[in-house]
Parts: sequence; C-alpha cells; structure tokens
Amino acid sequence: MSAARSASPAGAASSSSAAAAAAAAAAQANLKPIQVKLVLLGEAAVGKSSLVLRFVNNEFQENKEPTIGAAFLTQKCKLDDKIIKFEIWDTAGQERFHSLAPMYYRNAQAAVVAYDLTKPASLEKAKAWVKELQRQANPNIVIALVGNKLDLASTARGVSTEEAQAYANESGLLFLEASAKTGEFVMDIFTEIAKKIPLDTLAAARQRTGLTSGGGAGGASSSGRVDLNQNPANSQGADGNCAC
Amino acid sequence: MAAPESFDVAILGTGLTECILAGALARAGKRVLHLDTLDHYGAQLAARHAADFLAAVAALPDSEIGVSSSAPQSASDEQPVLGADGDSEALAAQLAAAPDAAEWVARLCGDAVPESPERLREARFVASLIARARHFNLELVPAVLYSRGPIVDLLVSSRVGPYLEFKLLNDMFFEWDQEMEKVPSGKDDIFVSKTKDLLAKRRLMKFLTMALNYLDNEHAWQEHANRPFCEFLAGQGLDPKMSAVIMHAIALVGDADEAATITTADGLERTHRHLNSLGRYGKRAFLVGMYGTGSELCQAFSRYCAVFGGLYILGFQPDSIESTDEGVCIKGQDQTFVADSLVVGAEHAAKLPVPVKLVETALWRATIISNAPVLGTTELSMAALPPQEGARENGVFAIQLSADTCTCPEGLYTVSIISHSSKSTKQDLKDALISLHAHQARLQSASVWLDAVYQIKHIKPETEDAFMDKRIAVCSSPSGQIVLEDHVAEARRLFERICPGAIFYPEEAQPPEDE
Ligand SMILES: Cc1cc2nc3c(=O)[nH]c(=O)nc-3n(C[C@H](O)[C@H](O)[C@H](O)COP(=O)(O)OP(=O)(O)OC[C@H]3O[C@@H](n4cnc5c(N)ncnc54)[C@H](O)[C@@H]3O)c2cc1C
Ligand SMILES: Nc1nc2c(ncn2[C@@H]2O[C@H](COP(=O)(O)OP(=O)(O)O)[C@@H](O)[C@H]2O)c(=O)[nH]1
Ligand SMILES: [Mg+2]
Repeated sequence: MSAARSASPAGAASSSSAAAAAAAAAAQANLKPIQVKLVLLGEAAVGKSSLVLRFVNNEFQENKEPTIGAAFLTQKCKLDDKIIKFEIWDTAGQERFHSLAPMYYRNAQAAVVAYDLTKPASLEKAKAWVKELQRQANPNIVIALVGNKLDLASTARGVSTEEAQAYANESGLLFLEASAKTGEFVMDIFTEIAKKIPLDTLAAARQRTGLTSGGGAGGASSSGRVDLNQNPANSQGADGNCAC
Repeated sequence: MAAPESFDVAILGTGLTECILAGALARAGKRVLHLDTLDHYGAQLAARHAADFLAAVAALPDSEIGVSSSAPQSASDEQPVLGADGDSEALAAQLAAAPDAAEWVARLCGDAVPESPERLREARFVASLIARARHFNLELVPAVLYSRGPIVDLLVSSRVGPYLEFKLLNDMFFEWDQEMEKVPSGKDDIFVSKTKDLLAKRRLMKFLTMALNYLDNEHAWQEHANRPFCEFLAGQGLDPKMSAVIMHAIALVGDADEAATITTADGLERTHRHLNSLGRYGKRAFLVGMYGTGSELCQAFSRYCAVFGGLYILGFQPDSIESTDEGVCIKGQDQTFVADSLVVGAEHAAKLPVPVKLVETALWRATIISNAPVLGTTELSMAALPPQEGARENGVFAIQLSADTCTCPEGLYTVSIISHSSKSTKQDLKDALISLHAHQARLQSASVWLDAVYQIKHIKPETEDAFMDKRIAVCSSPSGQIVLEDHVAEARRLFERICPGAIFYPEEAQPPEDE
C-alpha cells in the first residue's frame, strides 16, 4: 500500500486574517493538526473514489475504478488558525453488496454522501444513507450531500439543483454539486465540512474514545491506546521489563 | 446488479483464517470473492450488542443465563450503578422506555414485580443492559494477542494495523489457594513480593532468564526436550506453586492433561513467547482489540482484501456448490460465480460437494457482566485459574474488559472465562464463577452480576492438508484457545498451496512520520 499522503495542496480558506501577533500565537498553539475521520457513502459508481482521488492527489482516472491502495488517505486542510487532517476512508467497494463493516463507520465525524446527478435513483440511495447515518451515527456527525459529475450537467442532468438543495436544507446537510473529473468544487466539499466540524469538542471526544488525536507520534497515548509501531522491530523485552 | 463472474479464489466464511487468507491473495494479485452466509464479519468471533449476545447464548443448547446481586453492607457501599438504585417505579419507567428490555427482565428475573431490593436491583440492571445494548461489544469467543506474536507482527508488516486500536491488559493474575495473586512481570516484582524465600526467587529468575533465550541455552534443556515440561520444571528446584505459575499463567496451558504431557521443548517455546512479549508495548504481554479482538481483526483483513480488489457479499445464501472442469461453481441469489479454488470455513463444510472429515471439540465458556471489577481493580486484566485439587480438574482463563475497550458502557465490567479442555464440564465453569464471585466480594461488597454459561463448537479439518480435492479446501473455525495466533500459520499454508512462490503479505513501507 502506498503510504498515507500528507502533502498539502488544500488551499482552504485562511489568509484573509489581518494576522495580529496574538492571532499568530493562537495559531502556534493550534498547529497540531486535528484529526477527523471522514467516511464516504453512496451508491456504487457515483464517483466516491474519484472524489477522494481528486481531493488528495488532484488526479482523475477516466472510465476506470480508481485504485486506492491505502488503508485510508489523509489530507490536510488549513482553516483560519487550525489545521484539520482528514483521515478519509473509502468504501473499497464493500458498499456494493451492503457489506461495509462496523469498523468502517465507527467514530466517523464527517460523512460525504454522494450521488450521481445524472441518475435520480442514486439520490434516493443517498437519502437512505443519510437516514442510516442519522439513526446510527454520532449525532454531531457533519454530513455533506454531494451531487457528483457536474461536468455532465449540461447534457445529462437527471436531478435538479433545487430538488437536492431543498432536501439537504430540510435534513440539515451541507450541499454541493461537484465534478471529480474537472475538479470543480471538490475542494469546497472538504473546506465546508472543515468549517462545520465542532473542532473544540472534537479533541476531547477523541481522547475519551481512545484514538490518538493529532499527528499521532509513537507511544501509548494518554488514553492507553497501543500504537503497534511504537517500538522498533527488534527491541527485546530485556532490561527491567522482562522477567529476568 | 451484475457481479463479475469468475474469480481466482472464492472464500466462504469470514472467520479469521479466511480473512487473513483473503487479504494475502488479493495482495498477491488474485481476484477474490469473499462470501458469508451471515450478515456480519467474523463468524464465531463476532462482537455483539448486549441483546444480540444474550439471544445468541440463549440459542445455544444447554446454555444458562442468571442474575444475582449482593446487598450493600451500608448505605455508603452503594455503587453509583447503572439503574441499580431507585424503586419499582423507576423500573417501570425503564421498561416503558425500552420495550425489548421487558422481555429479558421477565426471562431472567421472572414475571412478577420484584419485591425485595435485591430482585429490584437485578431487574433494573438487566433493563439497563438492554436499554444500552448498543454500547456493548460482547464476544462469544474472546481472545488476546501476544504483543510479539504472529498476528501483531503481521499487522505491523502488512500495515493492516492502522485500522485497529489495541489496549494492553495491564495486570495478570494467578489464583492460588483461593487468593488472586499478581503474576510477576519483571525482576522488581519477583524481588518485591513477600511470599517467596530468596533462594526460590533466585531459582525462578534463573529459569526465566534461561527461558527468555531458550534457543541459545539449549544445553540447559536439550536432554529433556521430548520429556514432560512439568518434570523439567520440578527439576529446576521450583516449588509447586512457581511451577504452576509458569505452566498455567506464563505458558498458558489450561488443560490438566496437556500440563502433564506437554514436552519441555513446547513448554519452553510457549514460556518464551510470553516472556518475549513483555515490554514491547508495556509491562504486560497481551493486547486486546477495542470493540473486540477477533471480530475487529476479521474486519480489518477483509477491508485490506477489498482495498486490493476483493469483492464482498455478506448474507449470501448459496443454493449449490459444484466442482466442474472449469472450476468451482457457486450459485445463489440469482447469481453464478466460478472460481479456480474454493476455501470454506469448517462450519460450511456440509455445503461442499466433496466428503469432508472434521474434528469437532466443544468447549464450555462463561461471560460475566457486572457493575464492579472481578479480577482486580485494574480495568483490563487477565487471570489464570489453574487446575487445583478440590477446586477444578482443568484450568480456566479469565479476561476482564470494560468501557476502556468499548466492551461495555462506563461503570460496567465484563469477564470472559475460557476453558481449553474439552473435558471441562459446565460444572467446572460454574465453580470458576463461584470463585470469581468470591474474589469480587473481597474487592467490593455490593454488586449486581449477570452470568452466561455456554458451549461453543470448534471445528477443524482432520488432516493438516486442508484440500479435499484439487480445488476445494476447508479451514478451521476459531481454535478455542485464548490466543488466535495459529490462524496466521493456517492462512499461510493455504496461501502457499494456492499461490506457490508468491509472497505472503510482503513487507510494506512504513509511512513517513509526519511532524
Ligand atoms: C452509516 C452508519 C451505519 C451504521 N450501521 C451500523 C450497523 O449496521 N450496526 C451497528 O451495530 N452499528 C452501526 N453503526 C454505528 C457505529 O458502529 C457506531 O456505533 C457509531 O458510529 C457510534 O455512534 P454512537 O451512537 O455509539 O455514539 P455515542 O453513543 O455518542 O458514542 C460516542 C462515542 O463513544 C464511543 N462508544 C461507543 N460505545 C462505547 C462504550 N461502550 N464505551 C465507551 N465509548 C463508546 C463511540 O464509538 C462513539 O464514538 C452505523 C453507523 C453509521 C455512521
Ligand atoms: N463524467 C464524470 N465521470 C465521473 C466523475 N466521477 C467519477 N466518474 C466516473 O464514474 C465511474 C465510477 O467512479 P468511482 O469513483 O469508481 O465511483 P465509486 O464506485 O462511487 O467509488 C468511473 O468510471 C469514473 O471515471 C465525474 O465527476 N464526472
Ligand atoms: Mg469506489
């Protein structure tokens, strides 16, 4: 698997600030990225993997299932004085036959529910996922409804912007139309999510559930979670710790 | 929805061997179809919510579920317990809020409105478990992982590890003369303890030092390699108690017959495995998974397989499985799949078109859910309760988990009791529950306690060669041991038959550490 990416092309909102020295100090304090688990949901072939690949690698693969050969991809998003590190879990195709594992959606703080704006049935599927999220997930989860394949809107649109927007409004979802193919509005999905995530409560909540917050350097976190990579491979248990 | 038709390998069952194998095959470029008749991952290893867990136990033949409580000695002893204070009105409110709770309260506590404070407390406890059912991840077949063992090593080298979260079991106990004692985990522990004389301590140190590097110390045991380990231990001048600690709490031999016959070479290997795991992630040797150990491993290896293109269908009911010249043909739910090879979990062997010889072992187990710790006040811990004259013929192991592993809600504890011996009876497990209850009473005067006693079947192919014909193989259901490590070797053997010469989980580059 390719290593998780951490380059930062994310040109998220930031710079307008008149950056007083105090603000800079605050920024310093918050420089440690805040980790947010984001899951993708939606019918097969609506372009979930393509959206991730556009966001993380800024690339698109025509007519083929993009291979995302990684546990999950990471991408940072800078927002005012905070850095958000999205840990993005793609379905790896396990949604096709409703075979997603609980591990997939556990502790998700954000979800992108995608549909294909040329296929009305895919919006119905998206609505079912939203319902599932509202029933099962953490009530504070930030959900973005995304109509993908905006590049096809002029020729093959099957879902009107108004209809989807109205549904999103009544369900309290973020809503955008985007194109993984052209890249149009893809960044905005993640920036909008980043803005809406309740960051202050997040760090504390993560601590409680035992996930390492932030960049996650080695060592057991304060919550006692074990990082398997904590010790170099062959340090033996000797000296003090072992039974001799 | 049109599924791709042909695959290199089809796998039926999402037990641990199957999932590790699936990931290895997909990583090696094979097209993998992975099916399960159940709608969840992990087969027997699955973690369940409280109501599902109780229903699964109740569905097993001869299982028993009971609730009991002990009254506080004084008002100040009363624990801030989930639903354990209050009155019958509070119970009625609880039942009204959670309709399925009423059924379990009636089943476990009787239909009548409880009269005594104890019965009321028990009913409220059961109701609170069901009301918060989703906050449990209870395993019928719980397990622990060696910090330095085949599974953790594979998780690290394959990079499957980052999907999962682990916690260290922070204490290890050993029951002797009805006392729970800490098993020493290092030099300091051994010399601090008051109970052993200095000479005994030196002998123990000498033995453990040798065992940690037993392969470099062959001269010390070679003559005894194939002779019983128990005799070898006796010959080291270790007293019966220290020998028992080594045999049961360190080498994890739970079965009295095995304790009498395990060879010195095998006993030292298992002692070494434990000692070698100390200090890798902390003072103790064993890890458990958050949300469950086996079930999470199965999900993680499945996801890894999917990331490399494996196709997953849970809840798939095959109508027929046939072996043809073109391959194994699986039909069901209006779909047909053809695969060059088929591997099935032992529980699915009856669906195969070939005769399969299986070995079945039924092991008794028990699970406690209580509002107070049982083994010790450290939330996550483990205990060995060795065979003891008058107490139990075979040893059992106990694992205590808590909200710290999301096994249960805050304020509760679970203890799983595992026997490695098919000779252990239901009564042995009940006796173990009685001793554990007594240990809990010493820690905590008031408690509410639910226990479930049940038997799980462990099935494996009779021969190590799992191939029943040139295309079809059968793999084991969970071994029944407290550790799951053997599944890696089994998956590797199957992989090497299916993909001769390919690399089983090539070492992946570790990602650069950011900031
Ligand atoms: C789309 C979707 C589908 C889902 N489908 C299923 C499904 O089919 N089956 C299923 O079982 N679950 C399902 N879930 C639920 C999922 O497994 C988690 O339980 C859920 O995301 C966590 O939300 P919660 O309501 O438990 O959060 P809360 O109750 O608010 O818990 C907050 C946090 O505490 C953690 N937590 C949970 N239990 C404990 C505990 N015992 N002790 C300490 N902390 C705990 C949770 O992980 C969570 O992060 C689904 C979730 C989503 C988003
Ligand atoms: N025209 C167009 N095609 C897209 C877009 N996004 C994805 N696709 C195509 O849709 C198909 C399915 O995309 P994929 O990302 O695999 O969808 P997933 O199954 O939801 O992950 C592929 O052929 C993609 O090339 C888009 O924005 N515009
Ligand atoms: Mg995809």
